[in-house]
Amino acid sequence: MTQEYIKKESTVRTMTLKAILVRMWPFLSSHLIQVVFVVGIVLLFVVVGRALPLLFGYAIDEGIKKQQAEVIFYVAMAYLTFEVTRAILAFGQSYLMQRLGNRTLYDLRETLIHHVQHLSNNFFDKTPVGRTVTRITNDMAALGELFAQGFTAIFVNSLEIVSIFIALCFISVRLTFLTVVVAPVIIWMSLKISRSLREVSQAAKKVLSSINSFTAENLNGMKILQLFNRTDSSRKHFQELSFKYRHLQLLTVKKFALLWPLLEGFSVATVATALFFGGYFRETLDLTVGELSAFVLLLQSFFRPFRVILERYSQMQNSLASADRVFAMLDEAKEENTKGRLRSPVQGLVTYENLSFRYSKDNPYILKGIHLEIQPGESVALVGRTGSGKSSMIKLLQKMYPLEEGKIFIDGQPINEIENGHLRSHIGVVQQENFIFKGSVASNIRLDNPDISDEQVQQAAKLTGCLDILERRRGGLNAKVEENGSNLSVGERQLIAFARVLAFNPDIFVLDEATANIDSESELKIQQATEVITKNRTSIIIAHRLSTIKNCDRIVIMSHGEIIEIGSHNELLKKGGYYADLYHSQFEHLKNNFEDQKTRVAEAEAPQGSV
Amino acid sequence: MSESPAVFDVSTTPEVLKKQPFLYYFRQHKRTFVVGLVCLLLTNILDALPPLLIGMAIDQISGSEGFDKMGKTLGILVLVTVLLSLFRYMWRIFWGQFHHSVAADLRIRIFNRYTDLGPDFYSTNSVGQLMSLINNDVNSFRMAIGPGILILMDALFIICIVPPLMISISPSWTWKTLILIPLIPFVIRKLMSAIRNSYKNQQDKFGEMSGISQEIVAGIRVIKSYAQELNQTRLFNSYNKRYEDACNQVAKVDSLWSPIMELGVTTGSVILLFVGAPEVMSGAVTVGSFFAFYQYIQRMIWPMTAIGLGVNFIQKGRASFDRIVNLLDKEHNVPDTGTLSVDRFDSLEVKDLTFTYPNEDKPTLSNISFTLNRGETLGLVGPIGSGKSTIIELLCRQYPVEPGKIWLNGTSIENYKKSDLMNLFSVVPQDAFLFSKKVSENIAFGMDEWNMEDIYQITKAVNMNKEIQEIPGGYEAYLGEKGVNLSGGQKQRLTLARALIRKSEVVILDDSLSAVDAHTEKQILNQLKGQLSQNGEQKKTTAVIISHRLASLRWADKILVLKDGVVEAFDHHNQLLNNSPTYKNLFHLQTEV
Repeated sequence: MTQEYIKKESTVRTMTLKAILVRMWPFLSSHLIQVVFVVGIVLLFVVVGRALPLLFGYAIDEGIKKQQAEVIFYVAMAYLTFEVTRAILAFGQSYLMQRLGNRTLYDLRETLIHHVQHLSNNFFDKTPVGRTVTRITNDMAALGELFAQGFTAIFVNSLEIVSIFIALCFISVRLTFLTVVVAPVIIWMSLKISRSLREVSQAAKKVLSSINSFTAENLNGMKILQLFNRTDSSRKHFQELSFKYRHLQLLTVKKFALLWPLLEGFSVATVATALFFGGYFRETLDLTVGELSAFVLLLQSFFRPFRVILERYSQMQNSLASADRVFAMLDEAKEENTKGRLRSPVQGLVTYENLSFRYSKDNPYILKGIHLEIQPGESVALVGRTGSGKSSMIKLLQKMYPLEEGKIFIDGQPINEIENGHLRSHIGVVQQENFIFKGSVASNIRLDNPDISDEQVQQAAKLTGCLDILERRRGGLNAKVEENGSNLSVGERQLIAFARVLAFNPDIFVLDEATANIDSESELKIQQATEVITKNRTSIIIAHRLSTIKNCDRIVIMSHGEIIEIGSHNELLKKGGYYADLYHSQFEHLKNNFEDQKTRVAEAEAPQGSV
Repeated sequence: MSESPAVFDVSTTPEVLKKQPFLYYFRQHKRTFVVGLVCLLLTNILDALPPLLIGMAIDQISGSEGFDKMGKTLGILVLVTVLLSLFRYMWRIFWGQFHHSVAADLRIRIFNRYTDLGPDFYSTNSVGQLMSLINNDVNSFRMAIGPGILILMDALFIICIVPPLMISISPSWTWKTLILIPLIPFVIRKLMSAIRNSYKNQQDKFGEMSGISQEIVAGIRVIKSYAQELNQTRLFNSYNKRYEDACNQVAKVDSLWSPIMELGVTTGSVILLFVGAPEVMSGAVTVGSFFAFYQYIQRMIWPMTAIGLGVNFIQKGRASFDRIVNLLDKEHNVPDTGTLSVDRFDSLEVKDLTFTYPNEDKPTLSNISFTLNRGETLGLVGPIGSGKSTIIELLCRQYPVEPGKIWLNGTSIENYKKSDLMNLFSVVPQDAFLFSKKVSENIAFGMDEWNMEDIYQITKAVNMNKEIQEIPGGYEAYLGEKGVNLSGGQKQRLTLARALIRKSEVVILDDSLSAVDAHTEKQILNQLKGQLSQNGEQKKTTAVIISHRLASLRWADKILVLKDGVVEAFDHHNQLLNNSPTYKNLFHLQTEV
């Protein structure tokens, strides 16, 4: 059962080491001088390391055997010097190599965040935020591990193996071949073990991650779990997962326990072989005792690098999957873009021409043959049910999705010939739910744009009328804002979004009016802000409230992706169509209570209105 | 090892576990622990022999003694190695079994405790902290009781075995070469704390960088709308740089580790060359013994390192265990002491209820009184923060209420079993939380047994059936990270279905249709209303509905208007328009399309 489970769980598509190196090379090669320098240090480190056992052998032969006290002294001094040098080099190679890696990763992260910001909206629609963030953070960190723990260790230890082999041959080529002749068999065996070890440990990691996601989900939904009397079944499931994890962990331990003794046993076996042949054929091999001792010392250090490589290699497998995901994200296509710019100054004439739209080929049309021209400075209300296509009109105007059928013009210029960022900076949108960044109120208004001065921020907040509400309730524009603006009310968040729009001073203003959960004070401020912003500016308002709708120059009624009525409030009432029906059925009571509404406005404008 | 692991009894936490966790687990796994220890000891004894044997062989080669003797020595060497490998293999297995079992046991205990705790616990502990407890703290305790204890025992054995062997070669060499070695544990501990600090710093910087990434990705639409990509990249890079610096700091301390260890050996070896060579030259000590001694010096480095590491593991493990015990000692803020069973709702009476959340000064509810009878629908209305949801929480026993304030079927509510109350009420909370399961499993979440027919029926009632069929995979589609993403309104309707399918006596909706548009909400509530009246006397459902859209509450039998935790009015829609200013105001605000 476990075997099957392991097989099932370990079939993840991963890049090969080589493929990763190829992808990383452009980033590495921009630091070529450092790369060469580090490699030089590593070589030096390895050479000094091999000199030490040879020196020990020399001390036995030339000093002890020949009874030369001063040789011993010099050797001891040389030994000390070598060791100190080696220690410094050991530090140097490890530190510099990691530094180089960190710099490379910095560059890669910059490239990644830049790339991510230019991905299409389709990508963000189908990809949860958490997943994208994981690519930039955890997966990149895993790639870092791969670099710091994997590549560098494998590089250094491979050099160690080569250098030990050369040093062994330096003492005696024949003895070297006699002793390490079995090495390939052992290496093959340990590779086999380490491969199955890798599979098991990967399976264990998978189970651990399902334990984690199960736990996190249950913690998040603990209330539901308890309200629905479901704790017992969760406990049971958790226990099953824990036992499965333990079982796989034990399998890992088992395989790992096999690897160590194998390599160590083999290490001793080679030493025994060396001593045996070295003893029997000392004369023919022409070996001194010192040389033999050095040979044995070298042999004893021969297998440690093998073990390190095997261990690191199996640890690297998970990082390989992460690397794969990072590069896959870099391979995601960016959104289409062009170079054109709008003629300055922008007038704000917006033209929708025979516009049809669907999110993908499999989906139904959201917009069907829309024709609409909005004059500079005009305000237009879009009215219709959820799903009637109002929001899509806006998203397409911002080029958030590519146009396929029909065209949109601004001042007569087709928008698909305009550069995305340039186009968008001329359109300001206030949404129902506006994203608020962690930081301060001011940083949210200027969006960390250094070109917008404190005065401009202040001015924008003042003009939209949100300054006094924020000063009174939150203590001003520098008030701290939590993640997602969670310490602010919906109304306050919308007011900040208004100020944001005004600070960026776009030529076209879009408002998606909020429908619920707004306190009455913010509500009034929002109405004022809307008036300020729409004045002399082309405005498109997805409107829910009668007062907003009535104040607009024209009202566009949408249904199932089509414009069914268009005209001013009075025109539409006269026409007696859909709008008139809506108006009469929904707002009858308002007519009766019109006086009432006036009082409410008056109350709220007084400093402390009674709600 | 065993295919069917023993099931732990973790319903209670034994006192021994809390006070002496190591002792408790040693006793629990006595056999594994002792056998593992014996194997470790044998490994250490055997491991001390090869340098001696190799030294002997070297002497036999260079000496006049025959090759037969050397052959015998090498034979013994091979035998020792075989046994060594065997015992090394065995202690790893036994020891692994021991500490991984301990980890599983603790993990299950912690999870079970989590499921016992109430909202006050979850409001003061973030999910991140709790995840860290069940992951990192369990792991660090495992590292203490497993590898931690192990390497300390290993060090102890080596210290008991190797120095006597060294003394047998030369007592004076021994103290001269080992004199500096006891410093190593202190150096290690210093280095460890430097490493820990730099790692901590690295983690903090990583967290900050994650934070900014999260912000950028979550706010991508705003960034795009305002064409702020370059500014955001610049902002990100300032965090990126700080993280890089922190990584370099780690690299620096981390790279010190092996050179320092090596220098420890070097000092000993150099001293040996000075003090040992004359005696070897004079013939008092053989070359082979000299060789063996050289190797023993190197063997002594590890136990010294191990002491530093082991003590560190154990300290960290103890600190983690303190946090674990702290959790295991926690209880639900509303103990489940009720004994009465209940499966029918007749009446609910709230009498003069005042409630203050723990850690708050002002009461959230003051002197609330109202009644609700079988089959009625109660609407709860009021501005944000007026205490509507609090009433629901108290009804569901999430926070303690004085006896005699809430009466169910004429009995004060704390006398009932919690699980019975949870079956009596079906709550649809404000935030639409769904699990990463199939659509159908999510709907049937609260049911022991169910069939698809019920599910179809209920999804129809919440206007979801068509939309579910349009999802690739339909009812079998998985929700969540790896599956389908639903809109806010769709999620809310699924949570509604999840509650309705239980056909409980009382249905409670806590503003659970806010993301659904007004039109759809009306349709759903109409369906619900139809269902409520259809059920007949035997299965007459009672409903409590919090909603911001007053239009959808018009048909409720009674509406309770709350303001600042006080009942402003308790009446029908029509009367409320006259006698409740809050209600009237809200109603006028909500004239939306």
